[in-house]
Amino acid sequence: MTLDENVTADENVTTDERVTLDERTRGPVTRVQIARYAGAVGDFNPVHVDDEFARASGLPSVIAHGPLTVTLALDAVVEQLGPQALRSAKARLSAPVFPGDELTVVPTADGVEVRKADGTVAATVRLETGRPGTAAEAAGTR
Amino acid sequence: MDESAKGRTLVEDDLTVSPDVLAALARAVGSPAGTATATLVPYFGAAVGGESTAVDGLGLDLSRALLAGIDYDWRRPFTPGERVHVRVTVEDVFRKGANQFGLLAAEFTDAAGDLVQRQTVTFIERGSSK
Repeated sequence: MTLDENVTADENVTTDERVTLDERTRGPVTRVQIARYAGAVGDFNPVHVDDEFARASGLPSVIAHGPLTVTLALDAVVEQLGPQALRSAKARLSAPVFPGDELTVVPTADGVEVRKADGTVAATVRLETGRPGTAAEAAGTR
Repeated sequence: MDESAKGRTLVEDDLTVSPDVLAALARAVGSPAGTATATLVPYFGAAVGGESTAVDGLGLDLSRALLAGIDYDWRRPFTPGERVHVRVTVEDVFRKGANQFGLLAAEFTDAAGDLVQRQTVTFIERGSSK
């Protein structure tokens, strides 16, 4: 994705440079990672930490927290643009992420999407980027 | 899901953006950028008051509930060690077809009263009978 905006990954560099997002991989997601995330954000919903509960809910195992999936997508962006560049994100979760899933964060026209190894889209994230006071928006193509 | 919860404040509190929490989140992310990423997403607004915040606040049935989406509106990353005020409210609860939707909003403001970030979390409860 190319972002037409007034920001770069380097905070000291300004204006009118085109910033390109590249594809990144995250994972494979692990149970330890899910447990660490649960502890970090204080979300111990049993569907994330209790296999028996997850199976009773019709799932094959525990699942990653949706916000963890989104966080991994944002991490792939932060890695390239830095945290100051992000203004907003609208994430929609469309498929559960299980332990063992390797995720690919793929640039789209207006943000990124998170794909599992079989191509299933686990999350779609629309991004708005730019410095405070600017209204730049992600609007590029791969 | 409790449709009468709309407009209710579930949590209003002051907290410190703990460097330990940021470090724990960075460790969970597990990438070189994790430390920077953690300053954007150290809290899951729906769980700020504990894991039961959303469950009790919305009356969620966990066996039928899904997290459908999360939106962030950032003014800046969190600063390690800073004090922030957080308010978690039920923005909306509504029914669409057989499902119910619940939206929780979490606003984080700094010591000067300026917004740091706002999160909106959308839950779906499938096949709600109430």
